[in-house]
Amino acid sequence: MSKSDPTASEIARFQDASEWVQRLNESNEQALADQWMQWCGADAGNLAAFEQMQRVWNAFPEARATSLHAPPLASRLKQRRRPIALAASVVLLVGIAGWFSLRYSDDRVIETAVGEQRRITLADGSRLDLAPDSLVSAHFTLARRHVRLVRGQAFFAVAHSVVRPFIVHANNLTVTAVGTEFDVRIGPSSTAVIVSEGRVTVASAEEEGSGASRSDTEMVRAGVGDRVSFSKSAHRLSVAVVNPNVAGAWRDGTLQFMGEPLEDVINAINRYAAPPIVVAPAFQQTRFTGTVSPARIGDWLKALEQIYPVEVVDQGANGVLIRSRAHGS
Amino acid sequence: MTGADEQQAAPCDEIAARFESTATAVSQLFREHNRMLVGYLTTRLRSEQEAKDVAQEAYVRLLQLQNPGAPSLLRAYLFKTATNIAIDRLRHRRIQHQADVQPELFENLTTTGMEADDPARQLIEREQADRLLGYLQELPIKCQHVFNLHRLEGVPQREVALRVGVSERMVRRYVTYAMVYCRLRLDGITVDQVRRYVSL
Repeated sequence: MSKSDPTASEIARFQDASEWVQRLNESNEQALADQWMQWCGADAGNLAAFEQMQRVWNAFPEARATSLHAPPLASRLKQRRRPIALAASVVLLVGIAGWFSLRYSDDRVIETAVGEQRRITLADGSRLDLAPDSLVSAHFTLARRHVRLVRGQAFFAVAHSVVRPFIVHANNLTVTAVGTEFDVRIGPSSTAVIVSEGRVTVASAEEEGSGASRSDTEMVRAGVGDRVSFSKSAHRLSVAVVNPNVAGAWRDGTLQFMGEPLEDVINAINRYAAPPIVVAPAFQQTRFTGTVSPARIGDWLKALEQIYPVEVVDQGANGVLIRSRAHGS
Repeated sequence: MTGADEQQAAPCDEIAARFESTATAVSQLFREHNRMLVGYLTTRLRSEQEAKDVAQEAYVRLLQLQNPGAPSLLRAYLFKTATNIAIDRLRHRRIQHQADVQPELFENLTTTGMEADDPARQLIEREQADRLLGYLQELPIKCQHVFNLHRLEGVPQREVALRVGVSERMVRRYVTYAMVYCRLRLDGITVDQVRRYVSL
């Protein structure tokens, strides 16, 4: 219920104010600042409206598309976790090892078909929602719970265990958790993790124990709403802030994207239905932000033609082609 | 005779008088324009607290002027000085950014009562950001796209216009619509009502 309904003149003032926020944000020119001051002086309500619109503007999360180089943190984390894990392993090995491995071992491979979504409960009680056309394997040892996402996307709700970290391997990323919820998606141009509860450590690590040089390993601790992605072209980690609800939204039938390459967006959509959608190379790296419902892909494709200079060509059994509009005429 | 010689030759009370007139002019400027200056700086710095800090620094610099000059010139000088300080800070912030990635390392340096580190405040800010991102999703897809590119990804409006294939004027209109829409939604006005009040 609304506090009080805004009048038309209040709305007009808000509109003027937000134009000023944008103009001042884009330019440092003194002349512009002078004009703005004149506007402020013209009516007592103007500056107040400006301040309000500015608060809205500032309240949006900053896009922290910064690449991360944090070797000091990486080594600190390692130092901190290693003794705990080591001590824990020793304790576990003494006496209860046999019982434990029987009770909690889990080795399996699960694959979903196009359009099929599945929920799996692992031996430790962790829950895993596997997106369509995805492949995952689990391998639990005494000290670690390893899960490998080979293809597609999965949402993890990890059962809490400090002594037995839950480690998800996905392409070049390793996500380590002790009890949190997060989503992992493998796309053609990047692999991304979104945290919806708790904290995880994401590393662009090589295989554990592969002996590969660790010098170019990046590591970051990610919290609720952080999306950590590893881009194949840039070959490094980046962090952005997103709405944490985005993480598992696909499970309820809405795919949400924030500034992601069309190639990755289409790849995710293609898991829901055959025949596939193909994007012309020129648009594969075009960024898309928005919501897509797999049940209404046709509508979304129509909307795409409005956003980008593309045309969508239905090729029947060969799928749908998204290509430059200039191409067709 | 040069200005410097003149100044040295000036009697003490004349210097005092000049200082007095600068102080009077600056305090008048403060009374009449401080809120405007802080508003202006907040646009640059995205933080009201930091804007106030920068404003204060600018006043201090103004107080060191020998001759305040005409009020309109002094005002322009105030805004220019403050803008330069703000730009310096932004540059500095970019360098510091990498340090933010490892907060534990800088724990002792940053817990000096800085408002940005207050967890309760952070939570409120985060919740509000989440709500706003939710409101954005109610907007027409093209409007969402433009706003996301410009505000969330920091793409300049001119470039957004090129990428999306609309005029710069249109980009500004989309962004304005999104901002006013979110402002009204934050007030608790329903989707249907807001759509009645504002249109693209």
